[in-house]
Amino acid sequence: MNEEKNNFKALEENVRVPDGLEFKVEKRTQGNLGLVRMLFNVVDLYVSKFFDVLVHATKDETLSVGEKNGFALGNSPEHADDENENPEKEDKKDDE
Amino acid sequence: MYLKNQSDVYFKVLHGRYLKKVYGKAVSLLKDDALAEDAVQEIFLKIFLNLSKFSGKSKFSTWVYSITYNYCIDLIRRNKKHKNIFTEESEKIPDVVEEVSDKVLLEMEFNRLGRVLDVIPIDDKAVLLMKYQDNLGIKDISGIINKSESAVKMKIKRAKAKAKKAYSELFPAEI
Repeated sequence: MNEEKNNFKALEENVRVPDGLEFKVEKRTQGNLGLVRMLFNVVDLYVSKFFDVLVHATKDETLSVGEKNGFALGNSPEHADDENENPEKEDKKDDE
Repeated sequence: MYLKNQSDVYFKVLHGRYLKKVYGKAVSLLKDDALAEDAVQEIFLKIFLNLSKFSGKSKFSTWVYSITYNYCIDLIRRNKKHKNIFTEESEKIPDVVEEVSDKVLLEMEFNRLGRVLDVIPIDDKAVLLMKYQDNLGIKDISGIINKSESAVKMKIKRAKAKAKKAYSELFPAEI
C-alpha cells in the first residue's frame, strides 16, 4: 500500500468534531442509575397499588355480604340471636 | 493506565485520542450529524463499560474500531433500507470482478473520494474504511464483520471495483 498518499487518511483528517461533544462519565452512569431507580419506583407503585386495590376489593366483598343480610360488620345473625336469648335468660333468673 | 487506575482523567485521555476517529466513522457511515453525535456517546459508553473485557490480544485501536463499526452497522441494520448489510444475500452475487489497484483508490482526490464512498453500498464503504483508513488486517476485518477471511478479501475486491465504477460515473473521462 502506498504510505505516501492515502486520501482515506486525508478524509479522516478533515473531519470536524462539533464543539461540546464531550463524554460525561458521571452524567451517563448517573443517568442510567436514575432510569433504573425510576423504573423501580414505577413498578413499586404499581405493585403497592395492586395490593391496595386487592385489600379494598376483599373488604368491600365482606361488607356487601353483611349488608345483604341486613347486619353490620361484626353483628352476625348468631350474635343477634344471642342478644335475643339473653333477655329471656335474665328474665328466668329474675323469676327464680 | 485507565485499566490500572480506573481514573476518569485517563478515560478522558482515551476519549480525546479517539473522539475524532470515532465521530468520523460514525458520521461517514450514518450520514447524519445528529445520529452520529448520539452514536459517539453510546460507543464511548460501551467502551467505558467494557474496558475490563479488553484482553489485549488485538491493538486497542482495533478494539475501539470494532465497537464503532459494530454499533453503526447495527444501527443501520435497524433501518429497513439496509436490512441486508453484510448478510449472505449480498455475498452471493456471482460476477466477474475487475482487479483495481490500491493506488487508483488511494490517490483519488479526497473530496471526490468522499463522494464516491457516499454512493457505494454502506457495507462496501465500511470495509474500505477498515482497510485503507484504519489499516486493519484481513483477520481483524473478518472478526468485525463476522465473515471468513476469503469472504473479506472478495468483499474488498468488489468494493474497490464498485468505487472505481462510481468514480467513472460521477466524474467521466477522469479515470
